Amino acid sequence: MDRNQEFPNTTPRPEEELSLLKKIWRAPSGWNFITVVNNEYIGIFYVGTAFLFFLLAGVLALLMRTQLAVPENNLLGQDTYNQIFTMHGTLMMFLFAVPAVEALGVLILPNMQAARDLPFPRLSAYAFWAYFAGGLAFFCSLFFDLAPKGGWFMYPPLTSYQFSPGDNSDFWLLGIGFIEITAIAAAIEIVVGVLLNRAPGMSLDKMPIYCWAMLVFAGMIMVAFPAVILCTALLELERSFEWPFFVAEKGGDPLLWQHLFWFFGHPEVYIIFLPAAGAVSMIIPTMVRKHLVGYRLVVLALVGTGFLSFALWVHHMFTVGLPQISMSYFSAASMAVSVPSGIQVFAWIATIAAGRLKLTVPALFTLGFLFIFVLGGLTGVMVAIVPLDWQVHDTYFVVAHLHYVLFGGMVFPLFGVFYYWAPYASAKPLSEKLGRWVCGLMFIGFNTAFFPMHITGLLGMPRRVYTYSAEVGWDTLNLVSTFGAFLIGAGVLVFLIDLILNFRPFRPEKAGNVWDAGTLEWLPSGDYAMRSIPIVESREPLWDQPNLAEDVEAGRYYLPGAPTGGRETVVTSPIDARPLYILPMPAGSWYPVLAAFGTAAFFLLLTVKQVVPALFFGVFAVAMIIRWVWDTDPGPTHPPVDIGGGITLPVYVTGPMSHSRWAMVVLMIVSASLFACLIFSYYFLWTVAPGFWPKGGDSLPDVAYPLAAGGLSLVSSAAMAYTSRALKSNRFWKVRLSLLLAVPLLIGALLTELWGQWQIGLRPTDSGYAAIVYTVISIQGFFITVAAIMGLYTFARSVCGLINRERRATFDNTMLFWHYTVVQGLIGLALVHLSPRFLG
Amino acid sequence: MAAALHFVTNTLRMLSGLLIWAAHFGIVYIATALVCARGFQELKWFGVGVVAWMVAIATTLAVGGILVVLVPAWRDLYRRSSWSATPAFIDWMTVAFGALALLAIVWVTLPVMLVPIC
Ligand code: HEM
Ligand SMILES: [Cu+2]
Repeated sequence: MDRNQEFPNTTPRPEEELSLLKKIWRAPSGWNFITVVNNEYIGIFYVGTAFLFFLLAGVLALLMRTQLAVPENNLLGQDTYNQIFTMHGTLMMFLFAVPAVEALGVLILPNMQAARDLPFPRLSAYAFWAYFAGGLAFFCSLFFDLAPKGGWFMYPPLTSYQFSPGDNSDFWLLGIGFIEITAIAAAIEIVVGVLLNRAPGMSLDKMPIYCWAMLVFAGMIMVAFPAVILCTALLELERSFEWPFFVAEKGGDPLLWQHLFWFFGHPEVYIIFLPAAGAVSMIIPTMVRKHLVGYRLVVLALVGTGFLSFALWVHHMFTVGLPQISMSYFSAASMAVSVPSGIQVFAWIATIAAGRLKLTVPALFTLGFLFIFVLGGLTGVMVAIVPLDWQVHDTYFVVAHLHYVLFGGMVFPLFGVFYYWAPYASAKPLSEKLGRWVCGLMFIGFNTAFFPMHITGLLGMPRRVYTYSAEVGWDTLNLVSTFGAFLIGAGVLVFLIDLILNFRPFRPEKAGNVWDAGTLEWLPSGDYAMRSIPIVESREPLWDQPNLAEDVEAGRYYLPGAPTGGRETVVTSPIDARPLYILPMPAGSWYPVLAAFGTAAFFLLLTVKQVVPALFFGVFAVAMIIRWVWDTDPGPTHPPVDIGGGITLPVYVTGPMSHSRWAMVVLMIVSASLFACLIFSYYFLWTVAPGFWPKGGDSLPDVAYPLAAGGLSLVSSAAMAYTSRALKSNRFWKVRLSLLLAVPLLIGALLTELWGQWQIGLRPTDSGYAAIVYTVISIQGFFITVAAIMGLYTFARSVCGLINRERRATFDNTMLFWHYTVVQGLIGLALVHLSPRFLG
Repeated sequence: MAAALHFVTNTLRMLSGLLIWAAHFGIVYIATALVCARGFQELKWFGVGVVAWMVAIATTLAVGGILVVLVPAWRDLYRRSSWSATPAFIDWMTVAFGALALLAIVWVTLPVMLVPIC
């Protein structure tokens, strides 16, 4: 039989097809290189920057260890030490661990799923540049004695205006709040990318485990990060304007911070660990050359961990005096979460046992990870037991535990990943010989550094002390720890040498599939990712579909060229990955880059209280974002295209399958999570300080105010719904008028509620109650501002003739956000006005 | 488009066990905190404290809810031949998430019988 007939497209392909594909996807050169958006470039910048922060935080760790090497050392003073451990923890958690795994996702996922790129390449670029600029500026605060010193979890009241005057804590709050926002941007990209950009045939049950891990990871970010955004915002409001959320005398409570922070902070550990586990589930099968044992169980474990880990936050608060039974709930949940983690470990061991493990460098790192992580898990179960936690709380035992989990669970797999995926990105693989040194030094160094800390902890050495006296007998153990830390440093140094000698990214030729791995990221690729998009029939297509690489390369599969004359990729259905439509994609542009720098400048200037320049950059950033999205929603400018195999796909869709709609829904889930945390904060403050709450309706604004506010928002939503109908019949003046009407209605709703509270004499500085009421209004105000900008933007597009019956994605997203804002506002009104009336 | 709806309903069904678990955990935790903050823990009904009652009711509802989804999925899984892997995968996941959630719920409920309340 003719080989050609089995494939969607016949070969040989026309001569000029490949050169056109290359030309369209080529990265810009010269200065414009900064505007590049391809995942393979942005991904490497992103991983590289995260690794830079690992090095910087590592240098800080060595400084700390040097200080602690001998008793009564005075290398670093108390104050510097505080800044350094805060920076070390913060950098490692927020600027290294999360961005590093996110960056890997951006780098690897599109190729692993045989997409040409993730759906919003400019959003990735924006997230990267904002992180790069903001993160470096944040780090530099250390050189001006401006670094925060409240520890990576920044507990108030220590960090509030009374005990931390100056700008140091503000750097943490604004810096971290801002980094979280870029993390959310990348999470949106990953969720939509994993769900909608998979190779045809790559149904949920054939998705590589790494994709599952990244999906769970991004889902967890969506739910967890809003909590930390909220608590940093509250603390910043308290510091700048004395809104007393955490001041006990005024009806606030420092525990509110702890709840919100750890509701984020515990899942954070798994947010960091799950992608690493996902990578391990890719490395082990390759090195054993067997399918992963218990694929379904591993998916169960990933998703299950993602959920269960949210019920653990209180185990960081066992010593704050909560009801005993509540602590048991959390203690029980802490044990439940070890079930899925155990499942994964057994699946890995079973896979290794099923074949013969090739002891390559990635495999060695994986073994090191298994060993260390299991130990860290055991001490984790130990500290989940309430009495033991009371004993070791805030001692070096905890420092040992947390590094066993984080370093073992994340850094070891990550170095394994560097070695494993380097040939995917570089013209040469990294050196196996040097790699063994890296792994050995890090493994021995790590255990030498951190194992003794279990004992120093049990001997009572508290964490976060900058020195200790010679009499207490901690000196030998500390000296050993310091020696171990420098061994780790030596390992990292050898790794850097290996990078310099062998890592050659951005070359047209790649080292490629040196491990004989089975997944699609190892297909031959160029800037355009793979030449044609294959049909997937199993989880390791390269093992099970002979000649796949060659057929893809020859253009026998889908979409072998660039039919629309621009960049594009195929969107497939989220469950069974059937091709749905062609998604045109943007090329590089200056706007996201400028917007990112504007955003970073806005936050940093705000930190040092330069309000006017900050506002200038804020407006600049918004303008750049508007200019950037103006080019999106191009409309049905191209007729449907034939991608081969008798499949013709539309080039433009609106409605529930549009990828921008999916992103909007993700954003709404993030917003809802933020608002849920706000509701929690309201009721939390109410339970701790009911005396500050109005009794009944007497000291509340008249019901007329919330009723009017609610009414106005409902009418504005109705105006939006009317606009939608008018758009269906292309009645443009009606569309524009009702859009213009909806905006002031919504703003009016906000002002009515604000005026209602203000004229009864309530001021946000009065009490925790007043502060939280004004926070509900402020957050609603933020959403209304965004909705108003979107409304006016939609109006402007309508005036320019860019919106009509067919081309309505922009309008649809505005409408969705609008309705969400209105519903949130109504819930907020009910919260503030009904609770005291019915519960008070 | 049908694909979006299909995704939403399937995802909700698949994750129903874990979603119910989350609701159960939230309700039990918040209810206990409120009872203890307001000092109602001494209230009794047929000799059983309020917190135990609330936990018992929430647990019964949660377990019932999970079983309602889990049992049909289990049956489908059993009946289905192997010709289509994806629906079988979704049924399997529905059952497995449900079972994991049942375990976690029971685990969280047990201390009520063993530990002093506030
Ligand atoms: C080169 C290896 C590392 C060394 C030698 C090291 C050392 C240290 C030391 C000495 C402390 C301070 C303990 C104290 O005074 O309380 C610390 C704290 C901490 N480290 Fe590391 N660390 C390393 C890697 C990491 C990594 C990879 C992570 C996370 C991904 C991490 C996260 C943290 C956190 C969150 C804290 C707590 C900071 C605080 O108390 O606010 N460390 N580390
Ligand atoms: Cu935790």
